[in-house]
Amino acid sequence: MATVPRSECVVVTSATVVQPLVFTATSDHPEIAAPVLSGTPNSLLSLAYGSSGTANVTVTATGLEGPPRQQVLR
Amino acid sequence: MAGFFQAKDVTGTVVQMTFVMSGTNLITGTSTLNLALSDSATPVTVSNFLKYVKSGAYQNTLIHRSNKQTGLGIIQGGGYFITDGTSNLTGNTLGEVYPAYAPIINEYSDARPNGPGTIAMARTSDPDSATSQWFLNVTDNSQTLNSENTGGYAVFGRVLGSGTASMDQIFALPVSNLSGGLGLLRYGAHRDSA
Repeated sequence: MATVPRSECVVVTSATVVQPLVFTATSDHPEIAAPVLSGTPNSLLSLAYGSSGTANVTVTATGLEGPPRQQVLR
Repeated sequence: MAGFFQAKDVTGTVVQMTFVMSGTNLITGTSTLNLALSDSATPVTVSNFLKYVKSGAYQNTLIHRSNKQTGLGIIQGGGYFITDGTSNLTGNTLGEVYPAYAPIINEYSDARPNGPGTIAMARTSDPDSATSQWFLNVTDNSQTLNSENTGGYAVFGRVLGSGTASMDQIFALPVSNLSGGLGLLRYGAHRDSA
């Protein structure tokens, strides 16, 4: 009977459903506006407001291919 | 935030497959393929595929076929896993993917040809017989696997971006044959030790 070394085969070690985009959000002044991501995936953005002023909230989307993309909300 | 961002060319479910090549393979390491599925165009096929994915049935399965004929360049998997811990595989040490859900209807359309980088369901000559086995079209098989070939072979997604390089690497590996309890299997994804 023919045999093949196990180590020479290509094995699918996992197959899983993944999100095409992963989001993160940061604020340069979280005491004014703090971003909160929710939903499945984390695709809903809300802001927790604090003291008055101006804040820049940067949302970053990281995909499976290519560089991350950013959008700044002021 | 879908209004701000959209993954390029992705409208449905994405499945990530990780492949390991080790030992004396010509190529050693881990490769990852991301598959963008056509949920709306082929709902039955995608749903069936996802059942196997989510049940873990594809874990530790082999790429068991690499067909390099002109007009049919494919690598195929989703059919067999290793049933024991031996270091040498024979036909008797392979098990079929289980559970095997009921065969599905063929959702082939000439609008979704078997072009390079697409994934399709494998089946018997019965067009409505696909279960777990899938194949990647490495070359343009659109003429060989179209509706004139027993109704065509249903394409239900495609490889994203850099994953095509991994697909090509696996396809480039030499082919060996393995005989035994399951008959003749073609193991395209390993180095021919003969």
